[in-house]
Amino acid sequence: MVNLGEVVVTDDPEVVLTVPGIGSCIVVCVFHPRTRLAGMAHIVLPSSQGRKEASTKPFWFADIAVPYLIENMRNKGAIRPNCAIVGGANVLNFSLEASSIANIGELNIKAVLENLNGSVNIVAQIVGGNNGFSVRLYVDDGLLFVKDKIGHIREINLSLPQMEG
Amino acid sequence: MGTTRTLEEALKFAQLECETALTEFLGADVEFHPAEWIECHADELLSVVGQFVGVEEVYRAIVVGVYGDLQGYLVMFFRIKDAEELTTYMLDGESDPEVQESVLAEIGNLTTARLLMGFSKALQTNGEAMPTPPQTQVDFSGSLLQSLSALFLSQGQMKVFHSVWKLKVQLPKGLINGTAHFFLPI
Repeated sequence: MVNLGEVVVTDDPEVVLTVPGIGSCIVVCVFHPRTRLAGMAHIVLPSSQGRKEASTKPFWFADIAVPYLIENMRNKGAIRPNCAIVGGANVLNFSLEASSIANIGELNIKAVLENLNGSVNIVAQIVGGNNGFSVRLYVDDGLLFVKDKIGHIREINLSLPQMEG
Repeated sequence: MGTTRTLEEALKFAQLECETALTEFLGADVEFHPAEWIECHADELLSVVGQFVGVEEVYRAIVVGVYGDLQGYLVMFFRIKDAEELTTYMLDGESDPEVQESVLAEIGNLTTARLLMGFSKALQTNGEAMPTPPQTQVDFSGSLLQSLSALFLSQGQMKVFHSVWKLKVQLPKGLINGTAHFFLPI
């Protein structure tokens, strides 16, 4: 399981990277077809600006976690991997202070896309809305499974070579 | 915020109030089993609550926020089937989803109100705390908890007290189980 504020990069085919419940967070899933390298970042908040936790929990933040994930992949030869992003939902929908709550998901989506900034091939964006998802990325074949609350499973193939830039 | 002992006193008082109120409302025996307050980091809610609910399972959830002198959140989880049985029992088979949701919302209202009474008494405050209207929804428990973590962290609330009540409702058809979780940022 990839916990909140965690970034994992691996080529171990035995590993399945999972996040069991995504709400306002964004999970960035990457896979590089040639190197068979997979990565996942579980991002909680959009920006580390002015946040003292940036030194102790840097990967909570999109502006640190995304560049780190991409750089880590690149250092291992995985340039411009295929990518899917999932999350950014407005799951908590209170009438009081609703705007600040709703904004976390929306701001996360915006921040992740800004920080990806053309460094990946975005294959799928399953973002926004009011409902959560769970994800599993199989490192051995680059298949990503995104399940919604009704049980529908969307399969996204991140291993197709034609996607590679 | 009071000490852990004060919080436990508040919880104990609120437990009795909740049992009485929900027993009257539901017309069925209701029992809460209180646990101790646990201090945890706001980014650990998934693993802490994951001891009581399946984080990758879909639940019917009731969420109430509290603002004012006391700030926090109540999150109640019922399995979908249990929530349906509870509302069916309450409504004599009425199947209008909005009416069913209103029953669950009222459970959230009653529980939050009694919880606030407990805190008001234990902390000797005048009770200037305001609950939000209950939000009822069906989703992964993990999605709700993760969003709650993000909310705490975005507001700079790094640590929270968490307590769980295991809720048992005895219906003629059988026992309904649920859990009620209280999250109070420190």
